[in-house]
Amino acid sequence: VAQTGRLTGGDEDSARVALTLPTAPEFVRLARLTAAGLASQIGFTYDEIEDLRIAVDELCYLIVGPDGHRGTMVLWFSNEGRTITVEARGPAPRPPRELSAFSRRILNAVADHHAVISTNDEVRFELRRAHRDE
Amino acid sequence: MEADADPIPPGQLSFETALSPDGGLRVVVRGEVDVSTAPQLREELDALLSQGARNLTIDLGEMTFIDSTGLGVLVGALKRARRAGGDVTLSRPTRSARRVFDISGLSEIIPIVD
Repeated sequence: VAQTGRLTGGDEDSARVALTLPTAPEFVRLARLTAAGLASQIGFTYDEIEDLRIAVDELCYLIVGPDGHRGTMVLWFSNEGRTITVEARGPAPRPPRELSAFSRRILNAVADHHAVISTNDEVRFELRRAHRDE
Repeated sequence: MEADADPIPPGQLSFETALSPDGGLRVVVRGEVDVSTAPQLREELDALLSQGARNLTIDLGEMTFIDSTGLGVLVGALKRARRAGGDVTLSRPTRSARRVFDISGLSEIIPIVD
């Protein structure tokens, strides 16, 4: 389920997209696709889009886990100017997942900011990435 | 490489294996490697190594995405090949894959050739 293309508050420099997905591995690509679409629309470079795609992917893994599980996760993609924020929440997989060493290195390199809050029942994350002028 | 190869359906990988001139095996990986498709890659590489392949070149020229779950599969294949006296080489990664290999530190572990 997606609610897309909504410009908010009459401010043409901002948009907010909500995406609801089953917590299954095969749907993570739709989260990547949505992030890439928004980033492309606001002028991110190829490399910046790729950075955002992998950051979203790595964080979604914390909700989906390796095998998926019953439930849905919701992602909100928004931008202010040329900065994109992705927020998400979904049921925690069993057992809970942590970022691998590879994941941590990737996220530290490709995201301007990321934060994860995990409880036994729920995982939430926030991710931010800005376009950098040449 | 087949420039006119059929498009890969989302959520699937395709593989093509051939003997390399050096006697090793070359496997071409096509598609996106993520949490949903990494098991396909693991299965393919495990099967090749189980069949006695020692030196494996993994051609990534048509692999359009890889995340940390995919990196884990590559490291697993490398360990298994080296235990058997062989090695794994990554070939022709795209720019974005190369960046993931560099920032994750994978390029310090597995040889990469263009």
